Amino acid sequence: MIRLFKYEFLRITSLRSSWVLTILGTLMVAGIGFLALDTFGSVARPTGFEFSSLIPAFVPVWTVWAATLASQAFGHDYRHGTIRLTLSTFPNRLAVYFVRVMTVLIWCAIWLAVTILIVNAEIAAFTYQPAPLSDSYAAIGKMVAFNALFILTSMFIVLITRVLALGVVIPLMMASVVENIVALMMPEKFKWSIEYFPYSNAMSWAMPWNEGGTQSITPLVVLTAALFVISLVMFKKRDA
Amino acid sequence: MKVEATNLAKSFGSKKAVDDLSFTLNEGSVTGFLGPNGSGKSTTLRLMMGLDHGSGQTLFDGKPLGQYKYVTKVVGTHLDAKLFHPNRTARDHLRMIATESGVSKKRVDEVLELMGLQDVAKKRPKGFSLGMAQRLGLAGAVLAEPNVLFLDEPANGLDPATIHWLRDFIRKYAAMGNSVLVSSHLLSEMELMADDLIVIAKGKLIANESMESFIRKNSGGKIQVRVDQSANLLNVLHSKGFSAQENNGWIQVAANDTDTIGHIAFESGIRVLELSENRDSLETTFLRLTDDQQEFETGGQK
Repeated sequence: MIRLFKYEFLRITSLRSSWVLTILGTLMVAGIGFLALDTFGSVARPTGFEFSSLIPAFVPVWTVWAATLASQAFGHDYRHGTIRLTLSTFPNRLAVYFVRVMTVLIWCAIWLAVTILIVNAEIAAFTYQPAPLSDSYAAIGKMVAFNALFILTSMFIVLITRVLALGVVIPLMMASVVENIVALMMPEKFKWSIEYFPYSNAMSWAMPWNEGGTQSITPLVVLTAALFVISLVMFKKRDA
Repeated sequence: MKVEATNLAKSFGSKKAVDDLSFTLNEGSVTGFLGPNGSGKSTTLRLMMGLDHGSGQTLFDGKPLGQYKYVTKVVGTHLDAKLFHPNRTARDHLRMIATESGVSKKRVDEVLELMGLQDVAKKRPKGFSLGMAQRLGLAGAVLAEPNVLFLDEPANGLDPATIHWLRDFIRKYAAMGNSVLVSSHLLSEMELMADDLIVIAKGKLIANESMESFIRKNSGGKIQVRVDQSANLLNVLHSKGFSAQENNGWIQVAANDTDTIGHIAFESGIRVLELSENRDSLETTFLRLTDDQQEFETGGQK
């Protein structure tokens, strides 16, 4: 298992695109954070600023960068046919599946932690008496949960479709466009179904200003679980 | 290491790509894997590696591949010329494979040098020629010094000097007690390289024997003999049921070995001046054998 983790670690780190996505994602979130703080600061440097106010920089901006990196995990293998190399080197498909998913999640967790620390440093630098990060733990927890599920659905969609781009496009389009349009056009008698839309509900749920709202992450959890089962079975049964 | 493939089968819908194939690869020998395009060679190799799902099993010294701790030390594969990420450097590509069996960085550099890739080790292979890509694939296959090599068309795109080098390399690798299964459409190369042959067509086994035996059996058995009494020998041969005819002083006999014809001439008191086997090449033999087995024919309808 350790050998497979090493293989996966090398798989990620030996590609320039992994670093480009990671660095650009971090810079973009930090940049959004800086702009937001500067906007506040143009009137007066804010006092007691909370990290949770910058959650929108992480949801969905950071999420999309991370989902792109996650889509590459299996997407590159299918695009370049190297899934055969992977599975002839490590024939245990279940191990490959879980270690790859775990490695991506670990990479993203470290990346997210570093980004949070950078943004928090910005807050410390540009505000008076910032609220401690611990005040935002609940909001960060929700953001992490949303990000993790979003990333997982991206990976699972690629595993099912074997198309890298779909892992990025489907969750992004669902979250930002499709579910909102469908909700607007939904006939009255089906309006109840809107609260089961996975991405838009979960995204709203993750936003700090929606505390106590009716939005829920449960539909996204259910979707992720369903995609997990389908992708696992397909990865196990499908010819490489 | 002995490799035994038993009852391998795989269908795509109603089409049988591999149909109940069984064969054994012997230690210390190079086995050529031949078949027309679409005959199921690559599918067979993928079935043996567990990459495709089908029926049958492949045992490596009596054990399935999955039971070995270090798979890349058991079997090294080169299944496609460009089985690498185009933006991962050649060295990193090999380092990834090296993780499976703990192969050292030194060995990675050794193999890069062996394949003549040391100057492009830090280059991304998206710009590699087909020949360079083949070498990188081969480097990955032999990295952990496996007991068995599966090579699918490894000579495609190589220049003549590299093909020559590859032939020597494969023969030496087998001579160390390893088993090598190599598919190729370069039949003249295969004739020089392989000890044994597996020939398939439309997924079915056509032949599984030594190169010598395959050519001898399927050459159409032509012996040519020059004697001092042609008419007498022709009569004797016809009386013994051989098909023979004279042509420019030579008698062409449909027979499988020179010994038989020599004995007949000797027993008949006919002096033999020259006696030789008119042996077909592997290419001629293969084409004759698989003439009606082509899945995808060129040249339009016959």
